[in-house]
Amino acid sequence: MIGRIVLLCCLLIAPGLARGADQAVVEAARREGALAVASSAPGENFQKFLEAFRAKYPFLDIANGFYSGPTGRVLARVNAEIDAKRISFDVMLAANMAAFIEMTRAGKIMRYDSPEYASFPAGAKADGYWAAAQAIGVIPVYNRNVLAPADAPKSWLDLLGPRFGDHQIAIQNAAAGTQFNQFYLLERALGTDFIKRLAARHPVVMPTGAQMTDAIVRGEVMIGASLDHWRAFGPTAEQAGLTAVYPTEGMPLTLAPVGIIAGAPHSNAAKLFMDFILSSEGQKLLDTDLYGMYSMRTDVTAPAGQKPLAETHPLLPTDLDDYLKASAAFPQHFEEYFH
Amino acid sequence: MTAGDVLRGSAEKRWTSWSSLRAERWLGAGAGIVVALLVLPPLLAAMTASVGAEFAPLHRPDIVLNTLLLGVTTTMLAVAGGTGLALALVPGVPAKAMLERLIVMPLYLTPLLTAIGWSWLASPRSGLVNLLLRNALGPDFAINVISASGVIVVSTLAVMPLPFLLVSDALAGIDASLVEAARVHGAGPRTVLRRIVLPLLAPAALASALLVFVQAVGLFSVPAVLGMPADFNVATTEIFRLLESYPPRVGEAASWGLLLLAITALLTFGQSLLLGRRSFATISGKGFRPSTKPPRGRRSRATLAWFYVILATVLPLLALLWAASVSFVAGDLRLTRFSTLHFDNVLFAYPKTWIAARNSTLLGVLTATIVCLLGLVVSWIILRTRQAGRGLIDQLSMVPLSVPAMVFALGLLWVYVRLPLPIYGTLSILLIAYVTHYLPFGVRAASAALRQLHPELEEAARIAGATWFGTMRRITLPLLRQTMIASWALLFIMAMQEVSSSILLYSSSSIVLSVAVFDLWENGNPSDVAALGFVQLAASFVVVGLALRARHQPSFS
Repeated sequence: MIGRIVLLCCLLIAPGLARGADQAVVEAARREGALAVASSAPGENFQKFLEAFRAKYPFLDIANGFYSGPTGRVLARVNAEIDAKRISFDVMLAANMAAFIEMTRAGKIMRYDSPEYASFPAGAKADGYWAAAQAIGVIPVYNRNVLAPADAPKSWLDLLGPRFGDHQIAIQNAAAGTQFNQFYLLERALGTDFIKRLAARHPVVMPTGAQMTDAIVRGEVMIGASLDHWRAFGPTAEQAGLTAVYPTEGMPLTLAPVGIIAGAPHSNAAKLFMDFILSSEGQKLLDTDLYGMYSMRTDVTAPAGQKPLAETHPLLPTDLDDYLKASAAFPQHFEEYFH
Repeated sequence: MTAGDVLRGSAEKRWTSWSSLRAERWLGAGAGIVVALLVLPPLLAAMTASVGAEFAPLHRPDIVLNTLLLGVTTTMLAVAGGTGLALALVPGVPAKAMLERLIVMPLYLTPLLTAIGWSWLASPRSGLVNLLLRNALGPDFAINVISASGVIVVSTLAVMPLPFLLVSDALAGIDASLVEAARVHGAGPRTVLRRIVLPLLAPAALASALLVFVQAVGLFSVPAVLGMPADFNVATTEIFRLLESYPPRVGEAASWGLLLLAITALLTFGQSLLLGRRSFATISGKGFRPSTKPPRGRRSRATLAWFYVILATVLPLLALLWAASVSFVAGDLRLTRFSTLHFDNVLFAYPKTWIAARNSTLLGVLTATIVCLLGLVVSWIILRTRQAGRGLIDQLSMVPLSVPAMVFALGLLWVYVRLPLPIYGTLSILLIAYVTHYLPFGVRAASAALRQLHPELEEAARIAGATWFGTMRRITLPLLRQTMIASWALLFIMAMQEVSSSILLYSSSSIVLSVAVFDLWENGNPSDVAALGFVQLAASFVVVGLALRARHQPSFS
């Protein structure tokens, strides 16, 4: 009985304590007065997201510290600051889980127990350090004005059929984090033979996802085999005839974790940001409304027109050590297969 | 005049000459220190990264060959074409002034925009030129710019204005009395061209050849857009791949930088051997300019120039305008829908456009001014003094051009992130990076101009008692004014386009247009890239237009 009373008291008091803690963080963030974010999400929409965050915390200056670029450059800049012990960024979002795992192991990510972690599944977070702010499917996309839907592939193995000959399939270059993730997961699901047979089709290697989209729209290639799924949706994509294929074997999912950099100069503002970006409200704004990407939170629905995440049979890495090892060796393997 | 006056005069001259010598020494030491401080730390930082790493070029001889093929063929074609255009546009050619302006237009278009424009024009299946000509020439007709030859041709078109500008300036500086003297002695036009004009253009042509070669092997966007999809990889696309991969393979990327640095050092040495002992001065104290006869073949000269203008400027600009004015670029023209969406996006919705335009213009003006002045001082020390170590300053000033921009930019990041000054993440750090990056162009342009200015003019002023600063202000600068303003304009345009350092060093408040364009190319919509390209073009036009108006105003001497 006494135990139940103590538990009841704890349950009644706990939210108040949490609110108090939040208020202390808010006050500390107010004293810090700024937040600097380095993000691999395309900058235009992320700026809008930062403005929504600032509407909640108008005392924070977010105008001067924002840096956006592809994953490789974000990591290069953040790591240069960490190595020089002159950290200006507070929060990093990068579409490369391998980098986050390694940085966490190296003590470069600050421990922070956001209450929002509880809403993320086990494979999409490292409790106390980071969680996936965005989830990007990498799938085949074709142009229905060029390729009749009846002739379009339904599975990854269909890409190896006689219809798609030399130079008719496009993939991204090895530098893209999403490209590694896709090939790693497909190799585990379909075997190395699949990658080798795909390479034998001499796919066109594109420098960026935007250029691949342009080539599919213009009919320069018949199918983009490694396109970020969100590029196939939206009014312009619809007009242009872009059509997503959700392969029967599953959709490789690239996670873009967000975490606080150890030694962040505005660590309290960073905590507020983490709570916001991982909240249901933040995830809906960031993923559903601004980017058309998936959220790993189950209470955030897929963007309009997209298949719900659970129905895509998402593929995620399960053995993280194997994933890290493969990440380091990937550029070499890519060279061997595709050049 | 008494003996006392003579003695006093002689003492004053000795004092002037001694103080001039002292000024030269201070200037030489100061310039050497500034160049060393700008260049050495990022160079060493970038090169130490290659220590212990594999020498990557050994494993990719195909990429080494592709890079050399691109560098050598682009240089030969661009220098021959640029010199040909400069020789074609003599006074009397129809619309000469307009053609001169149009020929340098590719400089305003970034190579990225030219490459994207050409990918829309001449991709094998959907290129606009192919779609239009296929109706007339049959369904199998295809020009394929997505190929090794496409990379070489488009790179040549993009860099040809550089030799054109340098050779044109050298041509304008040739003393017509030399040509007249040859004619009086019975030399025909071909002999005059071969024996008089071309040898006098040699320094400018060789200087431009070196610049074009290092630019061609350092170009990233043209091989990325047109070469990578055709499996034509070169050093820069390989460096991009190595640096953007995770984990980044910085050491291997730096080893590619070392290779290009070694090649450029060899070429610079070869250039100095070729030019070192010969005199090319044509502006002397005894010059005269007789009237020139109307040239032969005026129309064919103009046609040649228009052909280049259409290929290098008109067609890519039309393709960009087309792309920016339709909802999306389709391979089937029946699907085309005209729209102002992309211009609306970049002018009103894209949050970076206006702040980037302001930052780019400011950085362009400051970079061009500082580099012009520093370049003049450095080249004057190299060519006009016997200062110890001037050869080293010459070599050092070329380094930023010899190392691929992406590798050098990493060196800049590693150095400036550690610098205990409050400039990291501000425009100042970009300014330092830009000045370092474009120093070679300032030094080369000033050197080419100074080589044509006979030292006797400066010596005469010094003998007459002028100080070093007086000589520079009243003799050297007025004579170099035209070239310096042209160099300023060129440097401004280049600074507007700098992307390799900017993408690593910018922050949201110091973003520049080139980063915004690159960002859209990597992440956004190619039609938005085209629309933002026009904003970049407009900003360059306004500032360069103002500078060139100053060029045509009467000299201040």
